[in-house]
Amino acid sequence: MPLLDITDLRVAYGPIYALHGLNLSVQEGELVALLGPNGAGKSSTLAALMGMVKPAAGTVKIDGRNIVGWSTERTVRHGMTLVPEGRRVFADLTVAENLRLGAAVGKNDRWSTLFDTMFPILQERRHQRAGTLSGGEQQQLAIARALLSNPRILLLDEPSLGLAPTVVDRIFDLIQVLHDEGLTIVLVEQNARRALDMADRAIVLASGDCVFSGTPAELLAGEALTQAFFGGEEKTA
Amino acid sequence: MTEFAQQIVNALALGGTYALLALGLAIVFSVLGLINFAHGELMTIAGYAVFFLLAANLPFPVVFGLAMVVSALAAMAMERIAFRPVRGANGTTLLITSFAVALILQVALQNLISARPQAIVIPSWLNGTLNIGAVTLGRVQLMSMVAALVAVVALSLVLRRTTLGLALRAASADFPVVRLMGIRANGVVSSAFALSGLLAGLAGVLWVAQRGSVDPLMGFLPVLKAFIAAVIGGLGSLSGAVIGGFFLGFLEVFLQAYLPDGAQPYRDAVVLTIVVIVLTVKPNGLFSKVAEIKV
Repeated sequence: MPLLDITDLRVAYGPIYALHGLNLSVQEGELVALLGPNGAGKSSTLAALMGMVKPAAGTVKIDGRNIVGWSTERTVRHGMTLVPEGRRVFADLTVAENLRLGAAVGKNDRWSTLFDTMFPILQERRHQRAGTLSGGEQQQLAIARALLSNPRILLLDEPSLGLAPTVVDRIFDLIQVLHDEGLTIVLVEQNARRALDMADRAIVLASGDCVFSGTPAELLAGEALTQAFFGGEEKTA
Repeated sequence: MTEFAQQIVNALALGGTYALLALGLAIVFSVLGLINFAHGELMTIAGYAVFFLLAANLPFPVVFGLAMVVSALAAMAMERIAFRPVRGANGTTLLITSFAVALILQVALQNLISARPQAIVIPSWLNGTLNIGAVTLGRVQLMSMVAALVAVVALSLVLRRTTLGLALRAASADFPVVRLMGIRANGVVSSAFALSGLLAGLAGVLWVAQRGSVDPLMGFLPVLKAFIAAVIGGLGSLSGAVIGGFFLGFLEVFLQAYLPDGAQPYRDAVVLTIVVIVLTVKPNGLFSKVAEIKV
């Protein structure tokens, strides 16, 4: 049985559909890249999974249990959480206080032994206000904070957005470590190439429709990605 | 000089009560974006709790504590019954709801108890004054100042040291992400109301102890003043609410003391004019942060 099983998930804002029926099964330990241009429905998908918007239709099952209609906090307590786009650390709170809130419902310390090696900078800056961290440090804090709720499924929304290339490397290294540790990950990324390097499977959305589902190799061999981003018949360079 | 010192004492006592009320308003506003005009009725409820508990011959310190608890419970009930069903609605809906709650409580108290003021007889050891040099300090005044100070320090510790306090501060900046930490939204909101209820209860006890009576409409004026104080401080800023409260207290007491007799009837007009001037110069209040733009 897949750990995360999404069937015919639809999201609408008023009469406008942002997602017309997504089907996706994620096995335990898989890293699935969710790709597509702006407005493709990626963020709507994540918001619907986390109970932040109510899906118009469809089911989302974790371990066979339908979680549609659950509150965000109940979903988190059930083992799925989201590192939101733009990091959204609590800027006025210190690093340590941000982590304390992340651990507010944490039950075990699966990650705490790895923390010091994964996030040395957070240890160093623990008494600093989170708003004073650099973008890359804030992203590390956002990921660390999410891990403390001890998720089985981690959703990452554009983790490399707005970061310098060397910092992006650091963030992708971290995601690789989490993947190696067996965490189930759904990664939404603009940086498709980097995401596909580490993904087991890829989904491409365009205008709310799933236009591709398969392995990264299949995706790179075909034209779904190019078409999703550029439309029409253009060839890859 | 002595008179000046005396006025400072008076201003601190009045400002402390405004600060407590403004803090209560600011806590709820910072989390929910709701200006709870029924906050004054929490004060009134605490006042009636004092009235009935004293009538039951309980010792004053017990009455003091219980009245605060009653007010906190009333605040939580208010949230559960009236505000939760409209959570997430726009500001106007929330504001009208809070006025409705205030009116319903006022009318209920008028009909169930009495429209007339009930006398609060505080214990004799709280009567009388202390003389420090030439400054006269009422014992109730002293109690007000100490209680306001203790409450502000205690609240600041709660907000800085406890997970609940951190969650409240975080929720005022980004509530959806607090929920992503697995923290229950209802728990955060309910706690915000409970804290604001405790503060309103404290202010209510001090208020009725100073004026010696309680009546159904007594909460309206102080909460209006507290609202002004909170706006001066920058709505949603907790330290701003405290400073705004004291600012307003000083303004009222000193205008009362030093405005010429002929101008006394215009005291409130002068106070509000000064408030308008402050807000013209600092439209977001003295201590509001510049709103952060989220990308």
